[in-house]
Amino acid sequence: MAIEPNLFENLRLELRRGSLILAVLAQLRTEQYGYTLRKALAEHGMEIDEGTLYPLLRRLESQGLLVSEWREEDKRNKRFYLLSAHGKHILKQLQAEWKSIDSSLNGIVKG
Amino acid sequence: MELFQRYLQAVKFLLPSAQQEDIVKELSEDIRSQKEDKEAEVGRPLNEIEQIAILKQYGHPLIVASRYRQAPVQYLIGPVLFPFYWFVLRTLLLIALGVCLLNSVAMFASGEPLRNLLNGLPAFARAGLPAFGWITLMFAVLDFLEAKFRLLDRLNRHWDPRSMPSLPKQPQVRRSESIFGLVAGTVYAIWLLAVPYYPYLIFGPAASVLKLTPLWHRFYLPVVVLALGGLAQAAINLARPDWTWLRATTRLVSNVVALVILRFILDKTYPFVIAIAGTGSAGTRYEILAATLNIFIALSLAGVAIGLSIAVVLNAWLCLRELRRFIRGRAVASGSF
Repeated sequence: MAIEPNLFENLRLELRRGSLILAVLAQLRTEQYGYTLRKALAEHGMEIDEGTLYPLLRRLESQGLLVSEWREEDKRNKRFYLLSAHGKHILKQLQAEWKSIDSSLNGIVKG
Repeated sequence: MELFQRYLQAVKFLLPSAQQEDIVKELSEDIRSQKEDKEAEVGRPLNEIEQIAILKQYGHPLIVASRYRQAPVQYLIGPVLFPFYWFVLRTLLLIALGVCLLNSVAMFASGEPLRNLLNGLPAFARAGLPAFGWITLMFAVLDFLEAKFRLLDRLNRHWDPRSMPSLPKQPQVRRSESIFGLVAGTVYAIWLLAVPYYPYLIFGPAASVLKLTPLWHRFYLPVVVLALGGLAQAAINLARPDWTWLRATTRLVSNVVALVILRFILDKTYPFVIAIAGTGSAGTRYEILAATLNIFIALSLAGVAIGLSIAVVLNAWLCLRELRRFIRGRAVASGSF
């Protein structure tokens, strides 16, 4: 059977995709704009490219999990994002789910 | 900066119009921040290669813009409906192809030159392309409605596993069907073989005043061969009921040959019946009888030709199904429940 050329990379991205939402929501407990958010995530080891981050932010905002506003900072207009009240509630649930997945997976992977 | 502006312009063109300004403004700010960070890092303005590297990181405008699209339907026909779409399209195109092929065979049989058979190709295109267009449009609308009203989710909520179709039985030719074919085929073959010696078997009491025109003799032997072929198929299937392919193939071949024979008969064999006896008013009466019978036979044969055409298409479909089953049977490895 032929092995898909970028198999590991594709599986890695798939694995990270779900956890990125959790990372973005958690990071936006404090207000940030896109560029600083991306840098903050990268500092924590969660690299995310621009083409993924901005559409994700818009989707989360349209789902009511984030709120945003355009504001001037350093004489430049920037769009700041913050976790909404509904977002905080969902984040709590997702964190609990993440812990449960983490503990289950640890048990399975260790065998 | 010109390169960045060109990039933003390309992305903007592809974005949903209501969000164009907003998205481009944010993207522009991000690119600018990144550029400034890099410039601070290297201590000079970025050269073209470095600017290209930043844009390559963002990706092709088509990909970037596509990620912002949140319309309910991204496909013309999505993966849920595609198998049904493909099945319907393939079936209809095969039927159209079958009808065109049949027409070509009939044209060839009636003496049309071989090159005229190529006319079947544009005929197939005329029938096939509108079918393709309409079926695609119909499924695209269905897919749109499915995505818009979440029809599949509703279906899933009300779905009862007991409503699924039962497992297919191993296809077999029924024993009763083979026995009937054998009995009826034998009677038919005996009747056919006896007809040249006993015209009464065709005309009944009128056999003394009517007879078939001599042209019928040309078709006698092929008709007998067809009858014997059907008989052989019924006998073999009685012994091997699992050979369903034999029934489909025999029927297809018989139908096509019968159609070709019919075409010849209808084209070149008029009148079918002539009066052979009687003078005066009796002779006239027999002539009228023969004329009436000729009209009746012509209409009956035309009806049979239509029936045979439909049968050819159906049997061609059955043959294709048998072929597919055969190929799958060879391809599928063991290991089911």
